[in-house]
Amino acid sequence: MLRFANPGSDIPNMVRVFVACAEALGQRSAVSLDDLVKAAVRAGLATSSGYSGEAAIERSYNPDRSRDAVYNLLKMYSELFRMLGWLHPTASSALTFRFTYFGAHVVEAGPDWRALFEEALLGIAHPSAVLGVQGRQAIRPFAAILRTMHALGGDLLRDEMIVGPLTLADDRDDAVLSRMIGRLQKLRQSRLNLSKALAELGTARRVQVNTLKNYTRFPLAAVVIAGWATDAGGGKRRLTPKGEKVVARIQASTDLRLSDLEKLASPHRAALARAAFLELLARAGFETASVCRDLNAEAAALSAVQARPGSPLLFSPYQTLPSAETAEIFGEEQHDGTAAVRDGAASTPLDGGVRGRSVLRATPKLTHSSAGRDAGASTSDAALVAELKSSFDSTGGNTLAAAAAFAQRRETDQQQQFYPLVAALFRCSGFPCEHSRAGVNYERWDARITLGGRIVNVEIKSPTEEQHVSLKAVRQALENRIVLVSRGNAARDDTTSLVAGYKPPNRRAEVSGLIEDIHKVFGVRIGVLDLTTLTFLAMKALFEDASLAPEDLLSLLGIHDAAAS
Amino acid sequence: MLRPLKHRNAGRGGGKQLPAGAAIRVVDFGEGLQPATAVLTNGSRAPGSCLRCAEPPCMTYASAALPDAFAHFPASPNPNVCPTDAISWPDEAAAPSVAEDQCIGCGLCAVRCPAGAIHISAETGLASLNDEPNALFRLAPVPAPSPAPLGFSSSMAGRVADEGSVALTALPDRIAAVVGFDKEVLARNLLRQAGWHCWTRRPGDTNVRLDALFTGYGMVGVAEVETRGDILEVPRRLLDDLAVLESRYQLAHRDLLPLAVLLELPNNRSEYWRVITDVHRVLDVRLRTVTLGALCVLVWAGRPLPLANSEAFHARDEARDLAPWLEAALGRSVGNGYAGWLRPAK
Repeated sequence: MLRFANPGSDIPNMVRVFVACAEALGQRSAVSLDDLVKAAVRAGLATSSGYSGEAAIERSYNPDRSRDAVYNLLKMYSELFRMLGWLHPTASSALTFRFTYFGAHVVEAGPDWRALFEEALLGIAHPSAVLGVQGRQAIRPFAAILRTMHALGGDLLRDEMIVGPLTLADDRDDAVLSRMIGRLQKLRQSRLNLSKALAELGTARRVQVNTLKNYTRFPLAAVVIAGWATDAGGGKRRLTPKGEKVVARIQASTDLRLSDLEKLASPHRAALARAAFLELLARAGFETASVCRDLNAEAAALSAVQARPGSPLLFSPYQTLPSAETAEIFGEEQHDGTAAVRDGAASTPLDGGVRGRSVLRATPKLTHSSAGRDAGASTSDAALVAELKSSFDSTGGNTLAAAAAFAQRRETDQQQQFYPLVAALFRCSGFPCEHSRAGVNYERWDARITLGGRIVNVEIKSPTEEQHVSLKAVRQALENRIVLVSRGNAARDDTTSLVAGYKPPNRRAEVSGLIEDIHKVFGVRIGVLDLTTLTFLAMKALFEDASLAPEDLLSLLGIHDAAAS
Repeated sequence: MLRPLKHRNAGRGGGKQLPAGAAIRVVDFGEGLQPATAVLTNGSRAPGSCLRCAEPPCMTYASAALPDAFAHFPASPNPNVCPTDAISWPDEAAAPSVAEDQCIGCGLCAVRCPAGAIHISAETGLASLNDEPNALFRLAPVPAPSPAPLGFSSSMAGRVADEGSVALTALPDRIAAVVGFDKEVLARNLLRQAGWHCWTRRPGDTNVRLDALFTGYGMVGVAEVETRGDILEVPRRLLDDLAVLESRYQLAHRDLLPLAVLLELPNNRSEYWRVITDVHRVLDVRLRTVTLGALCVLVWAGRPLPLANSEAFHARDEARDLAPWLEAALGRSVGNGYAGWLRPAK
């Protein structure tokens, strides 16, 4: 199956990134990916970890480049730019590039870039001397997609795109095309057929089905941006009148592939390349009338490929011919790219680049205490204590495993179950806690702990509200503390405000950063506990005489995760 | 490097001209909801007509550099004036035109047109563009690209519309109905027209959370925009923004203007009002609130949004009405608009 890089489906932003990079670097003989990173970040078109500018580059930089977020984003963009003919690799390395004459027209087009983008989409053809695409497909993918849509009455599902046109072996073989259309029509008889066909393709290519689907994000977005199709919902694309016109043009065109051109003498190839490129630019709105053309050479070349007289050419030289050849045909300079490695060396980050927030993600510190055992003697929580004991015993006393198993079983809890559970777990941990009653809106807290005359608000998020504790919960915890102090229910001190959720924040959330920012700026402490950790604390207190010290609970700051050891 | 070929739309425009040596001094909308009168420097007057500017200010903003402090803020590069893409200029057309089914009547195109060619219709409350030549706005003998918008320094007199017009009363319904409405762009553009430099975050950027940054008069502000979602989240997001801006960008939160831009003020039973008061009491932070409707009325009158006074638009539990601040800014009393535009809806 033909694969497209997946840096996101915001194509206007992709074009902005290209234009920003081209404007910053277009005069250079060769640029590296790190050069592209810097240009995009300096233009404010890429951020990382909540930072922008040089800070984003530093924070993103990882010596293991596969984990460098911004670098990888620009790598995927560069793959698309190559596919579109706007960027070519240099002779020395596939990861150093030069901006092409074609790419210069994207910059020149300014706000009118869409028509040129459409031409570039149609210009993608495999095999190509510019791309190192694996596999034996001979296909002009966007032409194939549009022709398939037309043949199927106008609609095409994402999964049909995958098992249909993007998997075609040869789109110029009418028999192969007909068979593909026939197969898709048959698959339409039942949705299960299509799912099965997709699964079989994944197995055959040793690629996960979700990965296959990710490969279609770019083409699905592209056909809509080009105005060839509309988003009909459910992953379906519907051909527009404009799309129909493009299908008609494709059918009337002389479609030239690398294999056709390789048979020609180089003067004919050059003439065809110039003719085709000028036609392409004219269709995209550029003024080509004043360009000198050797019409005799073009006529001879068209005759050599048996082009139908007057038919438009479907051939984009920058996306088909070798880079050195297009550079020569259009008079561009060629360099080997070694300069870029020196020019574009990655900046050394200030502190090694990878900054963690480990200070705000800690395992709870426990001290010896019988508070839990005493609390567990309360009859109101007897059922819960019994369940916790059973979990604890079933793991042979492995508290963390028991807590995780207990939490797993609460995955579908709604507020009515989860809020009382959280309050009870705090009680079992030795901390008097009550939860708010449903429907009592003036009680602006979900649960509260009263300890030594101080009140700790608890913002609770059940698993059905959010699986992982989020920024929203942290903001609510801040507001809870403000309201508590403002309305006279607590003194302005450094008592924490807690969030109790189902799972800890995932790594990419800014939760830890926001907690740190809030503490630094407003002096308010926010602590986060997930259900496994809360259960862990309860079990430790009930069965092992080990508890969180009250003063530690009252000053909890950051994400406390029993599993983070 | 080879020079690329020119795009045929580059330098598009032209085809209209003013009398030799004359420029537009004032665009006078009078009492509003009517075509404007263009008053030239030579004293002559005529209905405003489209000059077919090469870079039409009714459609696009010129790009503005961010201040150094925000040099790396991922600002949206969206140059559009219209938040709904209602105004467009197809290749084959002589002048821009407004798609009524996309227009929400915000009037941004009207106030930005240097020739007074656009007004808000009294009947529909939508933008209407006039391209008809007249005695002063004549067709040029040979279409040629216009220079930078003629008379862009022309001043505005009168008002484009007011709170009693259908332009304002229908605003919430139109915002809800239009496809592809970008509330942050509307807020950004209204703030720009109300005297502030403003940038919104680049769409799709999940690393920066705040909706908009704005600067002016030696001040820096941060805005959160909400039309239909959870209003109670807005003060929380503003506090998040203040904490991040101080902690990571060394902008002292006490020096920042946190501004909630809402479509409608929450009703009296909403906790919003008490929370604003709580925040002030505990953190000594004044969260300001303004509505899109109030911003439109200011923009239609060519007035700035005054935030220099620390109490301006600090709507809270004990002061929920925006009218006093709006009336002070307009220099007149204000009447009814849509429910919730100036005070909590009943």
